[in-house]
Amino acid sequence: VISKTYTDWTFVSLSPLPIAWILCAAAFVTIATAWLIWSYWGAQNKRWLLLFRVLTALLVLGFITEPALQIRAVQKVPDRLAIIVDRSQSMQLSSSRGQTRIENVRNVINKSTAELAELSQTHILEWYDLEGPITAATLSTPPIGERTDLLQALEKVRHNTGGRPLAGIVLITDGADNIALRAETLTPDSEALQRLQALDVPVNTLDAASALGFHDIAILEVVTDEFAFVHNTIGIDVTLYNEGFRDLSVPVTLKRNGGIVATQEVQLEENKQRHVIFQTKPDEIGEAVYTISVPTFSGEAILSNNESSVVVQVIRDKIRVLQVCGKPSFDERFLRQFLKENPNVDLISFFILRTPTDEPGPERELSLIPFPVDELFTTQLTSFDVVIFQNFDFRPYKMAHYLPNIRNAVKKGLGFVMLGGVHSFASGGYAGTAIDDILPVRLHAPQIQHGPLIPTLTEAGANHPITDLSATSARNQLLWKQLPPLDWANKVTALSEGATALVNAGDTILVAAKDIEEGRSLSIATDGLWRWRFSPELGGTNPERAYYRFWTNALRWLVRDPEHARVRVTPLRRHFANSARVDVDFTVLSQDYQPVANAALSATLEQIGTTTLNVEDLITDEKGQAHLHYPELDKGAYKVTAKASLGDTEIGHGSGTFIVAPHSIEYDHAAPRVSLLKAIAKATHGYTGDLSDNAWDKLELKNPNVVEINKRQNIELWDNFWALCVAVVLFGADWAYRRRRGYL
Amino acid sequence: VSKTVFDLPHKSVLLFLTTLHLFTLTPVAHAEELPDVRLALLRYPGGNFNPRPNGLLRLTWELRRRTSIDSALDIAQVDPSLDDLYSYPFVIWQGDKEFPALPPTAVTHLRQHLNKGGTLWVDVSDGVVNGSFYGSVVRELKRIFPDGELQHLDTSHVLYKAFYLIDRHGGRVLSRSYLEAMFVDNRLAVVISFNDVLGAMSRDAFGEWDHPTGDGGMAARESSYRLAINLVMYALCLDYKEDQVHIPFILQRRR
Repeated sequence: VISKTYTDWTFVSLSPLPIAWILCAAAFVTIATAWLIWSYWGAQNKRWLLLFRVLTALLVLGFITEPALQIRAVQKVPDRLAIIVDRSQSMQLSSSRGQTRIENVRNVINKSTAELAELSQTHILEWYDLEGPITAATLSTPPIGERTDLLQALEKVRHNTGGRPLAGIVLITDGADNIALRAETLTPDSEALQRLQALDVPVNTLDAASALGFHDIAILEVVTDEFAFVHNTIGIDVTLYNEGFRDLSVPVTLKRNGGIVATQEVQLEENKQRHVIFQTKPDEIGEAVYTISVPTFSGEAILSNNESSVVVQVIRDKIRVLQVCGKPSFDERFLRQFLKENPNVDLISFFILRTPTDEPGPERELSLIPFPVDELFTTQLTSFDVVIFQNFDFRPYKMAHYLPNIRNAVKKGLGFVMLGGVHSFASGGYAGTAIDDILPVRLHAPQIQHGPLIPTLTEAGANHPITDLSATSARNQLLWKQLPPLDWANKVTALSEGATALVNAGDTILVAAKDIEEGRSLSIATDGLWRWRFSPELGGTNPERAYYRFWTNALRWLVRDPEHARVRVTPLRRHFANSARVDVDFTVLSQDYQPVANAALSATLEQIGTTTLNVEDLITDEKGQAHLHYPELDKGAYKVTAKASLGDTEIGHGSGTFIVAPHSIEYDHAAPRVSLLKAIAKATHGYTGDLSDNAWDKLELKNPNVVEINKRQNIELWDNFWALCVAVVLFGADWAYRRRRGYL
Repeated sequence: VSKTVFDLPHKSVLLFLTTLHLFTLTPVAHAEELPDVRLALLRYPGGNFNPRPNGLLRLTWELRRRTSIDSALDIAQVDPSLDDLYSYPFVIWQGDKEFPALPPTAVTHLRQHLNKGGTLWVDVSDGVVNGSFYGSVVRELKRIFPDGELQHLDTSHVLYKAFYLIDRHGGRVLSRSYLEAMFVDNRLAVVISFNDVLGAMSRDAFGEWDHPTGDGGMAARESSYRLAINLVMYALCLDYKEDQVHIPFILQRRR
């Protein structure tokens, strides 16, 4: 019956009955036949009876099951073979011979046309990269994948059924996995190994890179503190790696803001890391860009990792304060306590404990020392950041010719504070002196204003950083009103040119501030601030906290803390990994810290250590703000300097620093990893070898076990004339035998 | 034509310089004399809170005479139960007999006062070791600082060099040759002198000593002044004198 058309046959049941019914009927027939056989067990000539009954039972079973012979035309189905080509960025790296990894892949594939055609006879070839299916055209485009996750790519391919079984996977890669298998060694209990084994398909790994060689000197990491204290040593820890080069000596250079600070000659062993530590002292306050670089060597695969920059915010180690007090008082005592307890302050105090007219007794029985006027106000003056004159009359100490030194130091950046008292301001004889030139208030005849005096914020004081004692403006206003009143104050009623009144009390300008070239000056016309420090809480207000905050603010303002700058340049980030989007914000504030609208800003962008790249003119909006976007900056450290002016008046300048460092993890771990490829193949029972090594006929693949039935025919065995004849013959033979033996 | 002195160049210059010198040497008058500090006496119920009324007055005079401190010539009396206590960071607690427990508000205020930086000088006027006044004070200090501990004050403490270099404790009687102290944040918050220091300083309006000092004589009175002045100096300058010791080193280091 089976002709050339049909290549296979099998038995099938054509019964329309459900399988359960068929089974039940077959069981009934079998049991009934067995009962009959048992009943015939004592009869004579039972042999023939039994034979007839068994044959009849088989005949009945045949009618129930309706067996048929099915003949088929069968064809085996070709399965799939997935070929994954790593198209991550590391495949773009070139060897010393100049050929990139992806070019190596393309060349081998082009030369393997015959082998691939042969494979396609038995397998459906499917092409993928690490992200998904690709076409031949895709393969010819540059590799742009930003990561290499081999395990995920294998799992994606495995779960892409495509309607056909998967015979195997061919993975063509450099093995430079930087995600799941980055540091994975595929130990027996590792999750990665279990995931590989769960693929249940051979993964044939073809190494596309190691034959090309890989040479690279890389600065893997630069670690330092984000903040550093000026004039204090900081450590910059550099991690270098030599991949592929024989042991060599490399000069490692440290630059600060483009200028070379130090160079170390470092011996780098092949395929080993090396730590180098630079010790350096920043000598300027502000943002410092430290750049570590090594030279590029011939044949290096990656040049971008030969230089790395970090930004360090250099801050004051301590604010050095000179407190000169004319006589002991509680105001002096609590200010001293605040300054001494402040870890950011290095305090030198000089208190006048005895005047020339006092009679304390023999000198040797006193603990007093001479007031070192000359030393303090000549050689040592520049070592201070802030000088405080507290209720101090300079005249008994022959200081008149030192006062210009203080004025000049303030112009160069010193902060100066005059605190009230009966020996301060005009009462201290400062009218017409060099100190008068720098004070925020004008000195007239000595006068005292008696209290109680309630401090009141001026409009400028409501926004000024010195008088900002609370989180919100409204609470700040309320807090000032609730502070303990002052007993008295030096009466000063007029501001000097360019000064700003921050707090008034009665008719007197209690707190006033003034910028003097590079320095700043602050006047506080009372010696009663200690009452805030020593006051109990008043209706939910904590004057002690206000005291601390006031003085903290004052010190920061006096030393020009960057947060108190009036022209602020704020890059959106310190590091930009995406060079396509560098945003910088600008804020311009007036002397009373109000936003300056329509201020002219000249923003200069320079690449540190090179040249000015760009100058933009901006105008601030009503919030005193402006914004700038720099597109497509090259890798490097940049500084934006902004000068602000309103009309003909210069407001000030500020700067901000940022680093553009397009970063790809593809280049962090770009070395070929043959060991990983071997481990993957071993875990999945695949083949591993070099791509160029004619590997196509060595692939380990699953045997195809699925067939396709194109044609079939059923030949019924029971439902025909011959079956009926057999039944009639059986029935007749049984009847005849029974009659002859007398059983009927 | 007669010449005047102004026609003589050298005399004109001389006159100018003399005038200039005159004005340079003449200090500008101070607006007013306001006290730098006012001493305050703790006024407490029961007992005898002011057994040496002339002692503190004499101290104010001596402060003005010997130091740059312009102390107010009147003595404030402050009730520790009132917020007025916070106007006086330096408070003197005198007595010569037992007194009842302070009101709870007073205890709270004194605790806050001392924690904020206040200084309390306890002068045991009866000069009796473990006497009734001292016992009452210790009892109240236990309420103010339950964990506080009175300790002998070492003579190396800056108090002994705050103004005078001293090693004696003066007083009308010689009960103890040391001071007791209680510290808050490494700062002297409470100092107890046992020898009736204010009694030894006390003089009447005619300059007569109010109390004899026995064998101590004038030296005991002078020691009392010096100790009291150092106490005021410490309250106003804290450990300033320890700075002074280090200044040459600090300045040298900065060169």
